[in-house]
Amino acid sequence: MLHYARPLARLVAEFEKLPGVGPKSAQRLAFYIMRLSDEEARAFADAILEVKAKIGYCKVCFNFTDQEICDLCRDSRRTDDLICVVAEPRDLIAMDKTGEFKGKYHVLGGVLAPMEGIGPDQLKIRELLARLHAHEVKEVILATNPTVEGDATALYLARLLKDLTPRVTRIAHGVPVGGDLDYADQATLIQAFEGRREL
Amino acid sequence: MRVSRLELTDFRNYRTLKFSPAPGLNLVIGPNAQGKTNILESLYALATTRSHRARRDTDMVRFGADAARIVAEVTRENAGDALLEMAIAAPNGVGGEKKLVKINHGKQARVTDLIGNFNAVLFSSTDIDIIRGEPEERRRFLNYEIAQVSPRYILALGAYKRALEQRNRLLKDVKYGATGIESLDVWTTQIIEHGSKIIERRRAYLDKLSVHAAEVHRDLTNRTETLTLSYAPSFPLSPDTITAEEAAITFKNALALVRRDELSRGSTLLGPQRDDLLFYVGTSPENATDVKIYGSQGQQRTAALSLRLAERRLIKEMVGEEPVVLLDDVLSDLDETRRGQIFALALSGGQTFLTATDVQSLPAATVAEARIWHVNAGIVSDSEG
Repeated sequence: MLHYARPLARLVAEFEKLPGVGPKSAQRLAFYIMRLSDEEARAFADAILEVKAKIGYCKVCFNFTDQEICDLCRDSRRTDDLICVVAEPRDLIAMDKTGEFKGKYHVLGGVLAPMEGIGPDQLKIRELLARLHAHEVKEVILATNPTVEGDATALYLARLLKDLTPRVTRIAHGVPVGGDLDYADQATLIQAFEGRREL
Repeated sequence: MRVSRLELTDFRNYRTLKFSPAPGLNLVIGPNAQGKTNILESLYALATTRSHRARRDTDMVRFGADAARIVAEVTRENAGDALLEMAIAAPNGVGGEKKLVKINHGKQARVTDLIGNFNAVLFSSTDIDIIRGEPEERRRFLNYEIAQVSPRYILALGAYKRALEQRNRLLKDVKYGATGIESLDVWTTQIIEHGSKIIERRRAYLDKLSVHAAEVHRDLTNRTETLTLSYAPSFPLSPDTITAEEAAITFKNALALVRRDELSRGSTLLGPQRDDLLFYVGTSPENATDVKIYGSQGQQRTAALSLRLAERRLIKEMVGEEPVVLLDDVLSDLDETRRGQIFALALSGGQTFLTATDVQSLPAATVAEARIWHVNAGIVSDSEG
């Protein structure tokens, strides 16, 4: 069996650790890196190191930021009255792309999952309660994923927040807007059907 | 409904298999361990998305191959023709998806989207284990057969399993003092929500199935015996508990009563994972007894046969078409009377696949009506008589 030269094997092994990257993709990526110029390769390596050195968590919402408090939390055009709770920073990005939501966010850093050793103490829940105590918040929107764990987390928060804020809401899920019912998968349709509302 | 063409690639011992089954009875003939059952397994997998005998789906992939593929052209009376495809990736294969499903060449978002396009009832020599085996066998029967007619059931089953695992882990951690109890209530709510949907479906399915089972069983026994199916959930459920909402209330109250027990044992004690199914046989419903405990082996075999025949009738009632009948190695353990009943079933109209080691052991009348396929070392050849 043919082996890679050691430095190449090391790079392939590093790529294989990335989520969604298997042996074949790792090999393709490593070969691509080898064809880069020295400057391009250095820029790539620097970008990785810079992220590690400069990015941390926002002290308020726990989104990724290179500052003490992130841009979103400091944005004065956003109201402090509304807080949208998400599991991960990538969910925040997805929600905010809509441009519809003008409040602030709170990133939990995961969802309840006893099997992964994640209970309420492992999530940024105490920090969320502190925010509600510090400022009056009119509504908390729970935007965790519609999975068993996401639902359990939303339910846990809803019970906890009930007396701290006038309104706790959960985002709706169902049929994609503008799509044909024909193209939606059965699971989505069933959920949309169960969550139907009166007109 | 019927399969007009079947293609298997790297499925079990088949590198490639292409054949066009006859609309009526297909006899699949060959020595043991040559691949007869594999053909039936592939058809059943198209109906349920899962193998009826493998513990892991990946067992269906031919050793050394990257993926197994099942392609079937299905002719249906009331839904038109469809080309159904399912690919199963080998363990540790390249790429993320383990299973992939296409309908008329269109890739489906979820594997369960295949459900409802094709229906099959599988009769097997191991069906007697449903009657006399552990409760797990009976839950397995329920899960497969309800799944075949209800995608909603599969969803509830998946979500319930996940919530139950999380809750069990939490109970265990609480028992050993590794974590607090404050999130237990939300996991309880989760298992109630998904569990009550499972209970609703199981009850509704069994209510319908037991009507057919009673009729079929009377016919099979020349009106000498009755068969009654009874759902036995893990907590008392009144007969007028029909909807998931009603079941949820009962489930919740039952869980509240065992809460202390659950905490001291570190495990969930009630729910669909502990359901059972009871079969009562007797000369009349009044003197019927639990056939698992008091039935002879002959009575148990007849009850198993009644169960499958009832399932076939129920699918026809729910789907509006006769399902494909798969008879896997069912002849060897049966006496003359029951063999006769099987042959009558095999020729009763719809498309049927029957496996046997040789043609000589079959009645000439059955063979005369059938299309015969010889299976040897993963190669299927056509022969006329």
